[in-house]
Amino acid sequence: MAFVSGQNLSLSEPVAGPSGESWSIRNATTDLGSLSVAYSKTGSTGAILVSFQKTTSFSGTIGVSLVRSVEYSYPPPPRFRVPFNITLQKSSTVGYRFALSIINPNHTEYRIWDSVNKYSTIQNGGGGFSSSNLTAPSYTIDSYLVSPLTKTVWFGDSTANAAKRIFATHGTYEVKMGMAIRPGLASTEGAKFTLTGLQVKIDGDASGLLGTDQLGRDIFTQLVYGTRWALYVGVLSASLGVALGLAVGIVAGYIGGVLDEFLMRIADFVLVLPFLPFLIVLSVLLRPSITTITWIIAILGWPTIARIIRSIVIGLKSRAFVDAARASGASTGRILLRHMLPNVSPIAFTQLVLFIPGAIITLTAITFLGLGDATIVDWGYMTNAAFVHNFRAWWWILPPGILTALLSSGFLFVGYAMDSILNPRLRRR
Amino acid sequence: MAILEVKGLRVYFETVRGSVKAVDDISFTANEGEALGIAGESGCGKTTTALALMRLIPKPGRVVSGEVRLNGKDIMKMSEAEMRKVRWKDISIAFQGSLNAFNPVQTIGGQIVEAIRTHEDVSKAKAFDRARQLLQSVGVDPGNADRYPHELSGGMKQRAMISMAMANNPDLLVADEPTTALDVIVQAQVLKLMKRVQSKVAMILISHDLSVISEICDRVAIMYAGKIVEFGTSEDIFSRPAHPYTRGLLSAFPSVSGEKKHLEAIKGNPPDLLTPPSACRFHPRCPYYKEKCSTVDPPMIEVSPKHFALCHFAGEI
Repeated sequence: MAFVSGQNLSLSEPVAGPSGESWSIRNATTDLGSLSVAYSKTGSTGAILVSFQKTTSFSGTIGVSLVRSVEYSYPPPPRFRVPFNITLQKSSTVGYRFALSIINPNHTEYRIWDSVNKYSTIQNGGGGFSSSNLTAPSYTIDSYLVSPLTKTVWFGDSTANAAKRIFATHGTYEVKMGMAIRPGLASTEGAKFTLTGLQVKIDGDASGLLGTDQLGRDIFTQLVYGTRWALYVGVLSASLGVALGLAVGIVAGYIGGVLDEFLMRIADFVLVLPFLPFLIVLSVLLRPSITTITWIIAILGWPTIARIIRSIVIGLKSRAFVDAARASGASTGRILLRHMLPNVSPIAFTQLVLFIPGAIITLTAITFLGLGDATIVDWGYMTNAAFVHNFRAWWWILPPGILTALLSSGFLFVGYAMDSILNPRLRRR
Repeated sequence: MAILEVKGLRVYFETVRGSVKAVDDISFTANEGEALGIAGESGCGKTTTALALMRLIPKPGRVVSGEVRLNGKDIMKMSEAEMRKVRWKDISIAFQGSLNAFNPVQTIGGQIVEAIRTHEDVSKAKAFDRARQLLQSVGVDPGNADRYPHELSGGMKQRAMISMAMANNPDLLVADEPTTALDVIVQAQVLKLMKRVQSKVAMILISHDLSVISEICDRVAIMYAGKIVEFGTSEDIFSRPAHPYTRGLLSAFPSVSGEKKHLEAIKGNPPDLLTPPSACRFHPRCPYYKEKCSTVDPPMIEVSPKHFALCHFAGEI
């Protein structure tokens, strides 16, 4: 066995990694040529380079296993992850296969991933030995999908949590990445693999700033992510609702007559719609996505805006400048756009800002009730999850509620300030 | 040459209690290079007449009958689109209470530019230059084009309004109470301006202020309760009034140069236009009332050439 650059690994002596873990090789077969395994301490996990160069004209399979030790002395975890990254350079006819196992202190080996395993998504790897180039992405192993190396361990007990089974005892565990290479017939074939980032990540029930939820997802991350949806739905639905209300209000107020009557009756109709039952019906009819929720809030909110704008426009209509504009030959559309709109826009802006908190609270309410978009996590969804799990932790249920209140009142205060500046009746000198 | 001919114009406002005959069968002409004054007390139909000329009668009012020929074309028969083209290009109006006639959230220049560009295909920059010239021509600092209406004084706004009315060189300018709500000094400035404007276009000046009318107008129509009761040259109207109402109006007005005398008010109140007095509408207040006045409609009598009065006894009293 010939070793190349870096700190070479031998079968007998383990090498210490950056975090104090030990790395070693096992089961190296070298009968077809030269195999070298080198370790370098780069990154947080180090990198292992495996090089193979064929020297004989026989065909066959060569293999090597890279083993990393892991100390575990805690109760059985609810879940674990094994991220890693493999890059591969090889002659075109070289086939390969990788397999990842965890060996517990009692020397029971669990295979948690195999490049021929149907759960793996490795490119072109599904057929076992493949001859295509490959850059594997970082893999996360879902412990529920692991099938054990020794089938008998799991026989009749397939629904049990693999993580709890595998990490059942305290002691030194090993993570083993087995690699097999099958070169073609030519005597010049070779291959190089680099394994980086191999780690075993065991999340406890409380990791991160605010712990994790029932599926081990970080609550703080959800909280931050939820802000995006609150702002998105709040601002977008308010803009849509105000735009709609503005259009209807200006047209109804200025043109008046039958059209006004018609539009206002529609507004009345929408105003008296019972919000929640309406929403439940809609969520059954439509598949609720964040876009439909945005539209629903806008559509249920415009009549208020339309009424306010209409009353202002009716007042404006009798002002002399409207007659002057008409006398100067301005068309109705022009009067609506150039004369009415700029005059009502300060009020529209105030209404826009005041609309947002309502929209945010509505979104939170909808998703809390489970009527929202199941593919996104927002504050209502979080509260719902916490509720479903009996309020297991106050730091789970309170932060989304507090943030909802803070963001809403923030917009509300801005709206009140704008109102007292722009509304002459409330202006204080 | 007559630019505007009005024949038998009637404007009624339909209300729940009946129709209010704001303008009832009036006829007059306005000639090129001439200023026509329409005078009368509040509520006699002056402004309604002006709005009817622009076809801007607000609901529930409507033009019941009559012809309004502008340069020979009857504008009452035009479509709304045609009418939009006529407005400001052929006939423009400077509004009563111009202080309110500018959009508060648009600059003065911007509004003049809009009026110009509605009718002429000129670039914004060119139209804006013209707006500045127009403001200059009415004695408003062109720098005010960038200002908002609330930044201008009442007199400046009134003058800006007149300049806006002149923006498209109309054939006929209707000035509705241009000096009302202005103090006397500003009134004098605006009047001076009106005189200058008058030399360029035909003008209809509507005012309850007889001194303003006598100052500017060549011919005068006196309105009472929706009717023109006397029509003639300024000379005729002011020195030889033939209708009792005109006389009453004139004697209720102080003269600076004439002899000192007691001002006399016309007795009674303006009539309710829902149920106007029968026959001659002035009869309940007329000092020369005879039986005939309340039973027979008075004819338009030509007192002297081109001087008409709507009274049975015109020329006799």
